[in-house]
Amino acid sequence: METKENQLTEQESLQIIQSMIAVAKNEVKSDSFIYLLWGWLVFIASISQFILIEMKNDLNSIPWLLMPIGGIITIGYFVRKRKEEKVKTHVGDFIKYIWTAFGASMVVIMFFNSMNSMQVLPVIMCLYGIGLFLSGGVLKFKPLVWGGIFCWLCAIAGFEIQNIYLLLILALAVLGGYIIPGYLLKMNNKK
Amino acid sequence: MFKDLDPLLHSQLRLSIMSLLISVKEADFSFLKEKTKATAGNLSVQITKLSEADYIVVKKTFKDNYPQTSCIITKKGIKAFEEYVDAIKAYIKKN
Repeated sequence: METKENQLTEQESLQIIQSMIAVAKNEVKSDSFIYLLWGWLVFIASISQFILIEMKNDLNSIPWLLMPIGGIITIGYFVRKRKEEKVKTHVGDFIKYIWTAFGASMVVIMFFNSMNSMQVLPVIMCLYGIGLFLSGGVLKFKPLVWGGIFCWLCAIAGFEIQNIYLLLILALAVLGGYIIPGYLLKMNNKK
Repeated sequence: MFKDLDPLLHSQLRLSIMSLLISVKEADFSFLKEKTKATAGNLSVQITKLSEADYIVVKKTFKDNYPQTSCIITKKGIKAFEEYVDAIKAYIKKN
């Protein structure tokens, strides 16, 4: 681009501003990878635990060991992404804050609650709802907003049920909240 | 032609840089170069001019042992940009 000093017309100026703002707007997108990673990990863990409980296997909590693995992959992913990041957006920053708050709340609830492991699941689904709803709102990406609402509905069902079928509701929540919106986001980013 | 238009912003490349920076929180030199399609030399000169006017802040850091330059728009820069846009709007309305 050559620098045209003081030779711009008002239309040209406006066009430059509009085109550059449009270019920058395209940078405001969220990666689908993390939604899909956690969606599938929680989906597999909850379905597997349900099957193990049905089979009367005492080691039925083992599938949840996938969670720390997911944590390590997530950290590695963000470290790599940070190195490649050429631009920081306000929306991107806000999304980081949303999911950091989500992670902190998860840690507090997982380690300091006095409920049994099943009772805590609807509370976690409510947290999913907050994270997805806010992310979808700030990204202006409706499937995530609907995913968040779906997680809240699953949480209501979860509070009503309170038995091992809660694991299936959790699987349903991540399917509708993370996996389906995750794939839609992936398709949307390719456009 | 225009009167009262900020001469610092009334240039194709500097206006492009400012329009990009007003939309994001922080942008690398390589990002600005890619999006404005400017040469590194020209971009560098224009960034220095904007920085000298305190319209932007230039941060020099190291990432994996490579020097990295990133730019952030300042409050003064935002104000100047808004005034420039208002002036253009007023001009278009008049005509």
